[in-house]
Amino acid sequence: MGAAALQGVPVVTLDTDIWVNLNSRQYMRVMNLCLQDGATMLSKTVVELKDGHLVNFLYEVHGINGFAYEYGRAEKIKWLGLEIRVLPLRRILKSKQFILRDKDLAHIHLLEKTLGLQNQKKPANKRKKR
Amino acid sequence: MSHMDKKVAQWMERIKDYPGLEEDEQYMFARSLAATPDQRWEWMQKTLHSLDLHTRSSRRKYGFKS
Repeated sequence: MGAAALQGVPVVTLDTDIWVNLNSRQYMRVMNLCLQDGATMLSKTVVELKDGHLVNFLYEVHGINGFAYEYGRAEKIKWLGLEIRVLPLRRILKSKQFILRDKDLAHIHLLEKTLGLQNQKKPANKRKKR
Repeated sequence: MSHMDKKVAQWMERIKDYPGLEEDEQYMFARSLAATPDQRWEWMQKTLHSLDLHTRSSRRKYGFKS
């Protein structure tokens, strides 16, 4: 839900999911980069960075298309001085609706509401009478 | 009124008639939608700090597994 939070969903998440375009068998390539940077490996896919932040690497995301398709349609946003790509809220919602774990139910509610609110029309500009 | 306050006010106006949204939720969503990604990230980190949930060791105290 980190990507959702960056796009305006009022939610707090304990870890950040990063989708990597590699086969999951190659997870050590990613882990080695993290370890070189001082992170602690907690599982095959999860590391704790030096600042305590948890990062979870995903090698596939269920309920949506493959990496190349989604990457080409991802939202570009500026974050901490970098331009990053994040899954658009509609795609996050689609994945969560497919996975449908207990915790996804609350997220689905927030995602749907945020999308609905973003689609609200801007009020017409009030012009001063001359 | 700061630039941020103006943006929040604009969002409040835009979403005021959205069905099923209570007043406290209106402000929560308006503030979040008005913010930049960096501001949203900073708020999230501050929230985790204020709840003492910003590190794995601190979370364990409250029964979190990770």
